[in-house]
Amino acid sequence: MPEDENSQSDLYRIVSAELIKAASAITGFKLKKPQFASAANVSGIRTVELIFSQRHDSRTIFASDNSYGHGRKAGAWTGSDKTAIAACRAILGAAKIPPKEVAGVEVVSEMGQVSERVSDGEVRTHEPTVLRKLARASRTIEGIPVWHSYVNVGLNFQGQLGWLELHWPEIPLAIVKEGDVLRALVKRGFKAPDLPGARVEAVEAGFIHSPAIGFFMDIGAAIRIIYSGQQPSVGRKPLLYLDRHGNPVTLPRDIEPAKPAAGGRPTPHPPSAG
Amino acid sequence: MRYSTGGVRDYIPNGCGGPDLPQTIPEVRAFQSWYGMGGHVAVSTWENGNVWGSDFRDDGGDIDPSGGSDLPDIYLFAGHGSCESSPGAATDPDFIITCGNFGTPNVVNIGTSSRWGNGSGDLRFMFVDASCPMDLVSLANDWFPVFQGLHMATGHSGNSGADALDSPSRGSQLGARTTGLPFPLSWLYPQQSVGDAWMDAGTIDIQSGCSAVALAVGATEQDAVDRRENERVTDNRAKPAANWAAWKWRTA
Repeated sequence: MPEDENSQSDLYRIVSAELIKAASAITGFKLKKPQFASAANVSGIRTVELIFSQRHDSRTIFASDNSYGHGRKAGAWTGSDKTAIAACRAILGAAKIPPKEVAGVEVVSEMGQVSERVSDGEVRTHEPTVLRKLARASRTIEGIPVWHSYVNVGLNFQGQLGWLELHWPEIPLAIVKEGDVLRALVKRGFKAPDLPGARVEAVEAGFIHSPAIGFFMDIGAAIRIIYSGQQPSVGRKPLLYLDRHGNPVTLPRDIEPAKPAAGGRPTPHPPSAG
Repeated sequence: MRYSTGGVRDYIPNGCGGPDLPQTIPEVRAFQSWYGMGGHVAVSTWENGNVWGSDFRDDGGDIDPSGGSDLPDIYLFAGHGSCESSPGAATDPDFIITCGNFGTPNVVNIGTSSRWGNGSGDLRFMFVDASCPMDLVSLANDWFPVFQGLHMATGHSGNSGADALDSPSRGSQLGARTTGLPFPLSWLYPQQSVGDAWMDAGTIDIQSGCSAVALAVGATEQDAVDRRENERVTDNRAKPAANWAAWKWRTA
C-alpha cells in the first residue's frame, strides 16, 4: 500500500467525520474514537467490535459486528421475517437507495445440519435447523434487472444489525438507456446464437457490474442468454452477455487476473498409493 | 498456505461433450490473483486438458507431483459437475467432470474415488465450483468418506432446473473473501470464514432453487459446527477427526 502515516492522517481529517456519520445513519453503529484506514478504493473505520467501510468508486458498504453470527456472542436472528425485512428497508432508506429501484426484499434462511458417523458404513443425520435469517433486497431500474446489486442484512439475536453488505452502484443514464434498447430487442425476438452442446434456456436484458470486493467498478447493459446443456445431468450452465449487435460484452472485473502458467504439464511417473 | 486451481473451459474441442465453459478460466485466474495478494503460494494452476480426472482420485493421482489435488492446502476446481434432473436419492453419487489429456476417466465419482488429507495428502479446503456435486440429499453418504484430513469442502446442491451459471465471480469473490488481504485491506474487506464466504460468494449467479453448500467435519458435533462457522483458511488448525459432519446452505 502506498499510503504513509501522513497521508492516512490527512485522509482521516478529510473523510472520517463523514464515515462516522454514515455509519451511524445507515447502520446505527456508534463508533467512538475509531481507527481509520484507507487503501486502494476503500476507506473505513473500526473499533474493537465494529467495522464500517465504504468504497470510493461505488455505492458499496460493508458493516459488521464481530460478535454477530450463529454460535457467536451476539447470535443471529432466526425470528420473524417482518423484523428482518423492516431492518433492511430502514437501511435502504438511510442509504438513500431510490425506492423505485428496490425490486423486492425477501428473507433468505441459512440452514444447517449435522450428521454423526455411527460406524464405517452408517451415518445418523439430524434434522436441519435455521442458523440465521437474512433480509435481501434486489434491484431493477425501470423494470430491468440489475443482476449483481443487492443489500444483505443480518441481525443479531436481539434484532440489532450484525452484518451489512450493500452493493448498489450508481448506473449512468446512458447505460440505463442502453438497457431499454436491449429490452426492446429481446421483446422483438432477439435471436440468441447457437452454442455447441447446449440449447437456449432464457434470454433477458439487464445491467451488469463488478462484484462488491474488488479494484474495478465496470458497469454495462447486456442481453444475458442462459444455455442448458444437452445432457441435463451435467451441471454449470453456459452464459453469454451480448451487446445490441450480438457481440460479446466484456464482463465486469474485480481484480486483474493472474497470468497463465507457461508450458504443458509433464506426464507423471507411475502412480504410488496415497 | 499452498493452493492450486484447476479450470476447465474446453470440453467440446477435446472431445468430451459439452458445453464449453468460458468463464472458468477467468475465474481461476482471478482466484490466483487474490490468493497471491494474500501471500499464498501456487502449487499448480492447470487449465483445460492439463486438469486430469486422476488429480481427484485417491489412486495416487491426487498426489501426483505435477498437479494432484491432495498436494496443496487449498484447491479450487471450476468446470462441470453432476446435477440430477430432479430431487435425487440419498445414494445418488456426486461427480466432478474434467476433460484431460491424461489421467482418464474424466468423470470422478467423489464418494467412491476421492479421499483428501490421507497418507501424504495435505488438502485442507476443497472448493468445487461445478454445480451440483454437493447434493444435500446425498451429502452425508457421499462426502463423509472423502474427509481423511480434509477440513472443509464447498460446492452446490441443485438440479438441472436450479443450477449454477458459468460465472467468474463465485471463485473470484471466494478468493477475495477468504484469502486474508494485506493490512489495511484486511479489515476494510474483512476476511471471512470459509463457510460464511461461500454462503455469500457461492450464491452469485445461481438459479433460483440452487444452494451454496459448505461442509466441515470434526471430532465432536461442537468441533464440526465450529469449523463450519468459523474456520478460516489461515487458521492453521489441526486435521479434524471425521466423527461428525456439519454443513450449511443458502438457497437462491
